Amino acid sequence: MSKAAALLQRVGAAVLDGVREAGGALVLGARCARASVSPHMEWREALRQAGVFGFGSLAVLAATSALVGAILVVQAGLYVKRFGAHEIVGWAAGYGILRDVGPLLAGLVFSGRVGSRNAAEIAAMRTRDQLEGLRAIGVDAVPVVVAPRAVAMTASLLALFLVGSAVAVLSAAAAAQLMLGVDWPQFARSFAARTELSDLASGALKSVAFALAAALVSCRAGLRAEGGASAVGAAAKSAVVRSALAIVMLDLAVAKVF
Amino acid sequence: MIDVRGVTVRFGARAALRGASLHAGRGELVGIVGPAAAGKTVLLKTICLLHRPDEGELVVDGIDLIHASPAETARLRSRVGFAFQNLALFDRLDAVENVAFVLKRRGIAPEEARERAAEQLRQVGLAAALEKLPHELSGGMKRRLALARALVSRPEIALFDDPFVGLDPVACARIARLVATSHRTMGGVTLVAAGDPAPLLDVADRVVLMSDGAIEADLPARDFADAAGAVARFLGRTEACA
Repeated sequence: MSKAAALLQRVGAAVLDGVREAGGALVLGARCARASVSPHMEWREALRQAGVFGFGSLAVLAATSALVGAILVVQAGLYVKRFGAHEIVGWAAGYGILRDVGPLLAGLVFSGRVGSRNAAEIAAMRTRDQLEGLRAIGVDAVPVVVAPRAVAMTASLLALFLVGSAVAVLSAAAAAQLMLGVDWPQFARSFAARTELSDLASGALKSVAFALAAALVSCRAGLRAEGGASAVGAAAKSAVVRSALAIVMLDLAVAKVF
Repeated sequence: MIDVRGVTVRFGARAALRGASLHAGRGELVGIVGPAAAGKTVLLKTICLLHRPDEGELVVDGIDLIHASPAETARLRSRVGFAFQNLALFDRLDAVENVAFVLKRRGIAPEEARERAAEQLRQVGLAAALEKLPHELSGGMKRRLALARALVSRPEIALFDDPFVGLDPVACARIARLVATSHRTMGGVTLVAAGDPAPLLDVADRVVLMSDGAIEADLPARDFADAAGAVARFLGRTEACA
């Protein structure tokens, strides 16, 4: 086989894998949606997992958001100074944080931290026969294990996006004052006058989409685990890589639509 | 009650069960022994359709399970108690909740489920460990907890996958007595898979020897000890029946 043919074969295999993954995630998403309205849905487990996922990620997300808010202002600073556009710093930071950087950053941090953990936990349940144990007594694992985690991850990431965005905006305001001499009232006026509710809605929508992608991809990675301890590690790795890819692709798709 | 007829189960190119046939009637306690990877676990999992046969027939209580509807499969599973070799205990639930989970999922009120679970745990000698988490229990206690969970719903079909693994002879004998007692109480059919036949010889009615996915011998338990040496030599695996 020539090098070109081999390359084409690899690309084709990767595309097919991606389509299979997307299809599988959609099917699992549909099963989760059905489970969430069934009487067998474990809402207590969803609440517990939301606490674990959400509070567990709060510190790291807040720290990252604070840094990103400052970085946005530092990067914009060159042009703000050159063109004297001090009055748009608040809007520019708010727009960037709410629409683009906030949800994307929260999604990537979340998929790395929570998605990998979720995949590893489900993989461990699978390799220890816990999921087969459920099937053996006629219990569907989706409303008991998968759907509560998908709901918890979605609610957690939405909340984390809101908190992270607030932290990032405050951090941007502090950086603007320290580095560009834009005082708090000026920053706040610019932010309030030009930032729209649709910016927040777009970010929130992205967060929900990213959370669902991370949840479904990581749950699938766990559910497909075969073998022992190495399968748990492989599931976690697969969840991180595939979730990140899915999030970046969704970011592009949502940005195009909204 | 359980009729496995020429069942083959493949995982990819590998056949984990090769034309296995087994009959177990109501009231029988059957031991399934053999070396690792003989197909014991796959056979038990196939009986409750955790694995689908690629060939053969599987009839349980007159129901052809291979062609059964999802509702019929669900009804069968509600009559099965399965203790997994890997225990399959829920890490975050204490002993009572681990056992009560099965009952709650079958529609029994939480309070009644907890009471019945606690009673079952007392019967297997875990009265002092009701509120302990699985990681706080010893290996033998975990096995008894898995046993209690499999038995709490009073199953007509009890399947135990190597309940003796990792236990000392005293603990093995205790588990074997528990299995025999529960079997007599419930009056259904009990299948116990084990790598070592010794704990089963005093409690089982029959012992089936498996090797490489096939059933090689099916003997009354009282004859098995005498035949074990010859069978092992035939199989070339003397350690299997040591």
